[in-house]
Amino acid sequence: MNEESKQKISQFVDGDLDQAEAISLLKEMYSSPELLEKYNRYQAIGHALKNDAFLVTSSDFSARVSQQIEAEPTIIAPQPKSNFFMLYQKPCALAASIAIVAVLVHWREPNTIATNPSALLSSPLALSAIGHQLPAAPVVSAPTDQQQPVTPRIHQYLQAHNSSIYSPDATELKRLNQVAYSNKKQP
Amino acid sequence: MKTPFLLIAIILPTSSLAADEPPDGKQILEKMAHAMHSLNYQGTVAFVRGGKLDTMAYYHATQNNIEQERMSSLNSPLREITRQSGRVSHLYPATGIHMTEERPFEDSFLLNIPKRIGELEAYYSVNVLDDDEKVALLPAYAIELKPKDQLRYSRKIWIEKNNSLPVRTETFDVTGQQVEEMSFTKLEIKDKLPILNAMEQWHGLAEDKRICAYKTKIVDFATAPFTADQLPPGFHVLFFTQRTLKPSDQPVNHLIIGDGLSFVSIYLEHSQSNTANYQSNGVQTIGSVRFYSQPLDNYDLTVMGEVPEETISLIANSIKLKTDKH
Repeated sequence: MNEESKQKISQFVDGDLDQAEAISLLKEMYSSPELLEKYNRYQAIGHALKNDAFLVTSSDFSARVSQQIEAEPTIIAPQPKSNFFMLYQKPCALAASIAIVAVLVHWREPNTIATNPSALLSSPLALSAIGHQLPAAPVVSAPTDQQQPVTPRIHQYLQAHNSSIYSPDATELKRLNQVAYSNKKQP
Repeated sequence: MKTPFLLIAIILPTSSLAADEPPDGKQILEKMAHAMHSLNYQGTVAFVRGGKLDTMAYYHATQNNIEQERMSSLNSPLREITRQSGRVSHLYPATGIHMTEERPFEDSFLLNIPKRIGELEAYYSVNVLDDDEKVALLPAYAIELKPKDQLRYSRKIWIEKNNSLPVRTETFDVTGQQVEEMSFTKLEIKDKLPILNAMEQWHGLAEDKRICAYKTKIVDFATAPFTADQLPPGFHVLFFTQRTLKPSDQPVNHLIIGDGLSFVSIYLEHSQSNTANYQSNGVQTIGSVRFYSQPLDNYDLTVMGEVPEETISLIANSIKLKTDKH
């Protein structure tokens, strides 16, 4: 992988690459696992900077998930008798779904894809247009099994417990946004 | 006439041996506890708790038996905390909030340590890990306070050799994972530092900007609607107060217990919906604090502190309602 490719991935993640270059880079990434891994790393760094906690997945995470899905047994349900409506049900539903997705994508991000090519990665419709599978985004998760937000009462208790650490400021609640718990023990 | 020479011959080897003796951890800690209260010093302190970093400007001044400790945050939200004569004042310049509370059981924002180190010996072993470490380029002793059971956290304290001040502390849970760290990044010893009026800045605010959030007063624990007779070994009652916490106006019973190094808060208030979401989740963690909530008859009980999960559970189980109080 050359420096130019790395630079382009970085620009791509930052949304600084124009559309033609982005599509060219995407094609390059699909044929190069090394580039894909680099892209995943840059995305993970971006997530880590925006969030307090994240879990880094291994580079073959998406491949292993795909393998597991493929290994799942296929469930064959009994076929109902076909009629005129059911004959056209699937194509109609597919067409309706595509129309809804197209409307939603246009409504949500009419300019995003043009101005920010990295948004291609979060837009299934746009990606299907270039006919490739998406690289897996890193799983963003908390470091503990289960988390829930701190209630204002618990925040007040923390503040009364150690007022030199926990302030009554509302921003403090945002800072202490998660509480981790385990079900290991009950007193 | 031979006696003086003989005396010198005996003294010299003895004093040479004394200089080579490893320093005694307990004596170093006692010297530190004294220095923390008697010296004037200021600097910048970084606190890391639960992976979050807070950097504060720190001042400690002492004059005519009055001791004042102040911390000002260097990052938003700005706040200033002052401790003087067992009273802690908080000022939030942006919101105009001012709070005062009585906390006579605490001595320092930096490190809780009893004046009589001997009190700790039943539950902690004091070891000198290294007598030649450097913290912020200052030569320091590294002292370990290792618990003798699984009911408390272990600590390492780096004590600067020249002035015996703590320049760094680390707290570890029972698995050896660090839960808290305090470290001076800059420290100056001064002959004199002024004792400031903590309220000056607050009075400078326009009257409509001043909010006095709450004041707490110590109450006799005998008036509490509960008892805490079966506390884990080493923990004893330090302080009891009844305060109102918004939005309800009903009093919240707040008991603080400690073992000399760690404090645990016990809250009891008439049941509301605030703890209902937590009651089935076991002991929970936020930053370096663990807590547990459960209903207790028609009350909600919450136990919270920088102690292991097992200790929180034992304390929660030791709380019993007085039969004539509910």
